[in-house]
Amino acid sequence: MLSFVPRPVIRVAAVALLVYAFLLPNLVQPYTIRVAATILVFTVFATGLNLILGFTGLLSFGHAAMFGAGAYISARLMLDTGMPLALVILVAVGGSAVFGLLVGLTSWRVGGDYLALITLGVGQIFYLYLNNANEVTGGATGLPGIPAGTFFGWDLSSIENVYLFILVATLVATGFAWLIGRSFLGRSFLAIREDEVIARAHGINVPLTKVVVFGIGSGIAGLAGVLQVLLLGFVGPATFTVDQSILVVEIVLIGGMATTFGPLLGSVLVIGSTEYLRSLADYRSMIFGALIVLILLWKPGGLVQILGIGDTRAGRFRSPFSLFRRTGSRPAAVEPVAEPPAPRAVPEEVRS
Amino acid sequence: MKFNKAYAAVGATLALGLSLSACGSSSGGGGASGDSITVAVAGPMTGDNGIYGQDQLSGVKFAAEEVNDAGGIPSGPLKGKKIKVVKYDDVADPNQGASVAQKICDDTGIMAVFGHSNSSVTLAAEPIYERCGVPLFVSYSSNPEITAKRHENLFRTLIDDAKMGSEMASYSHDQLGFKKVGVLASDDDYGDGLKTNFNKTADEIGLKVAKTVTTSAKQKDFTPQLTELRNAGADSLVLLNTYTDAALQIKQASAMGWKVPIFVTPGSNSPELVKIAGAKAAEGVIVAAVFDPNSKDPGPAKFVTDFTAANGKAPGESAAMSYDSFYVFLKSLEDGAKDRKSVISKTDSIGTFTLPIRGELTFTENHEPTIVPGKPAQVLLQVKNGQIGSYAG
Repeated sequence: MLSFVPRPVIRVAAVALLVYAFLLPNLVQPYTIRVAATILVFTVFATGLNLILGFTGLLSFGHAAMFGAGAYISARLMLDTGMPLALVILVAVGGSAVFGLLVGLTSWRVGGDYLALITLGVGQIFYLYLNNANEVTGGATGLPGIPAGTFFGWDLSSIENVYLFILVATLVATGFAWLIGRSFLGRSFLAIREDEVIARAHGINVPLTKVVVFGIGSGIAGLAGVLQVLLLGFVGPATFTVDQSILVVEIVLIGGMATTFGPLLGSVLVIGSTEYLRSLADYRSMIFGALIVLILLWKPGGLVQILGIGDTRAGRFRSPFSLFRRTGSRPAAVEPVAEPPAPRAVPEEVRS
Repeated sequence: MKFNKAYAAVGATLALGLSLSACGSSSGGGGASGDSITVAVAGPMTGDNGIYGQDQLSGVKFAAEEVNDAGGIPSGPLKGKKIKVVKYDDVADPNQGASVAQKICDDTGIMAVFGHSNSSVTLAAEPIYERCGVPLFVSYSSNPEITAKRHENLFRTLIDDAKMGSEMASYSHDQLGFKKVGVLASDDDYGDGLKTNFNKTADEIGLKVAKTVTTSAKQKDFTPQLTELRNAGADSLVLLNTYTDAALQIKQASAMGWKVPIFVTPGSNSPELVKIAGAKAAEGVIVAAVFDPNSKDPGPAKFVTDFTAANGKAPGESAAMSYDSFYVFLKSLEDGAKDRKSVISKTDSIGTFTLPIRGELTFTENHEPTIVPGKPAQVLLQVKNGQIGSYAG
C-alpha cells in the first residue's frame, strides 16, 4: 500500500515517529500515554510470540502463562524484597525463560496440533495455579499495591516516566528480535517453519532450536509481564487467561508473522481498537476473526505486508548468535575428481 | 541501516509538526459547564459481566434523575445545578479499568466516580484515582483488600466478603438449621473471598460442610459439581457466586430432581435470578440480602416503586447499593463540597450518613461501613411465587 513511497521518505517518517514517541508525554493527556504504554506492553508480549509462532511456526496457545510468570515473579520480588529494578527484570525474564524452556521441551516429542493443545493446557493450568495458590499469588484477588520501582535512580512512579521506560524496553526487545531474525538462529527458525526435514538435512539441530526459541520467546514475554506490573501496580489472574493468549496470537497474525514491526502494528490495531472503539466491543472478535482469515489467505505478512513496509533483504548480521551455527566442521571443499569413486561397500546385514 | 544526519533532522522537524497538530486537537475534555455537574459510572457495560455495570448505572442514573426533577442539587454551593451521568466501560478487565480511570482523571469536568464492579478492576484502578484525587464511591466490589489500607479518596458503602461470608455461615447454622452444607463457589475473587470466610466461620460455630466445590468462569453446565455435592451427602446448598451462575445452578439442581434448600448471596439478590432459573425451580430459594425490596420502610419502598415505574423492571441489589452511594455524594455537596477535593474531605468529615435505603451508615477509618455489633448487615429473603419476598422461616 505504501510501496510507491520512496524508501527515504519512509525512513524519515520512521525517525519522526520515534522522536514523536519520545516526546509523547509532553504532548498528550495521561490517558493517551497510558493507552500507548499498554500498546507497547502488548508489542513486547507479541514480539516474544512472534519468534515462536511467526518465525518457527510453532503454535502456542499458552503464551499468557509466560507473560504472567514474568508479571508475578516481578510483583512478588517488588513486594517482598527491596531488590533493584534491574535485578528484578533479570530474574523475572530469566524465570519466564526457564519456564518457557520447560514447556518447549515438550516440542521434543510432539509437534503441530498436539503442541498447540499442550500449550493451551499449560496456559489453563497456570491460570488455575494463579487463582488457587493464595499464599504465593494472592489467589483470585491478585496482588495489589505493588510499589513503583526506580531504575538506576530514575523514578518510575509517574505515568510519563513509566511510559518512557516501557518505550525504551520495547525498542530493546524489538531490536533484539530483529537481531535474532537476521542471525543464523533466525534463519534456522524460518527453515524449521518451512520444512523440518530439509532443515535437519541442512544440519540444523531442530529439536534444540525449537526449545531455544521457546526459551527466548518466553523471556521476552516475561519482560512484557514486568512492564505490565510497572504500568498497573497490580497483578491479578484475570489478565492471564487463555483469552489473553488468543489475543496475542491475533496480534501476531494481524501484524504480520516473522516481521520486525508486525507486533507493533498488530498491537496498535488490536489494543488501540479496544480502547477507542469500545462501542464495538461485542463485535470485535468477529471483525478480527474475519481479518485473520483474510490475512492468512491473501497477505500472510499481515499489516506489514499490506502497508508494504517490510524489510526482507537477507541479513548480514550474524555474530552474536554464531553459537548456534550448524555444528561440526564446514562442508569439506570439493576435491576435483580424478577417477570415479570406488563403489561403496554394502553393509554386512544387507548382504546376509 | 545507516541514518545520516539529514534524515534525523527532517525526522525531528516532522515530529515537531505532528506534535503541534496534536496540541491543537487534544484540548476539549469536558469541563464543568455552567448549570450542571458530571459524575461517572465505571464498570463492565458489555461482555459477560455487562449486567453488573448496567445495574449500577441504572441506580446512579435514577438517583440523578430524582435530584434533577426536584430542581437540581437542593442546597450547598452548587445549589440548583443539574447532575449529568456518563458511563465508562471497563469490560471487567483490570488493564482497561486502569485506562478508564486515567480517562476519568484527565477529564476534569467529572467530579466523582461510582464503580467499578469486579474487585480486581477496582484494585487496579484505585491508585490512579487516588493519585489524581478523584472521589471513588465503591458500591459493589466487596473484596477486603480494597479497604485493607486507608485510601483518602475511596468510600465503600458495601460490607466486605469477609463479613458477608461469615454472616452467611451463621445464618445457615442458626436461622436456617442446615446440618451438612454443600458449598459451590465461583473461582473469582468474590466467590473465593466468601468461600474462605464462610468455611472459617462454619468451622468455628460447628456447622458441618459436606464439601466445597469451585466452579470456573464461563462454565454453564454445573451438573457434575452438583452431583458431587449430592453424593457427598449435602442436605443443603450454599451458592457463593453472583446470579448469572447461581440461577443456572438452581435450575440444574431442580432438573436433577434434587430437592434441597438453597441459600444464595447478596450478589444473587436480583429479580433476574428468578427469571433465569425459572419461577418453579427458584421457589423457596433463600437469599442473603443487604437490600430488602419488600421492606415496609418508606425509603426502600419508595425507591422500589419509583424505580420500577421509571425502568420497567424492579431494582436489583447493585442498583440499590449504587443509589445509596449517590446519596453519600449528594450529602457532601449539600454540606459545602464543590469540587473533587472538597467532596473527598467533606465525605470524610461528615462520617455518618442517613441514606434512603440503608438508613444510617458510618464510615470507619478506612472508609467502609462500620459494623454494628448484634445488628447483621444482611437480611434473609425468600423466593415465593416467583418473587423475592420476606423470609417466613
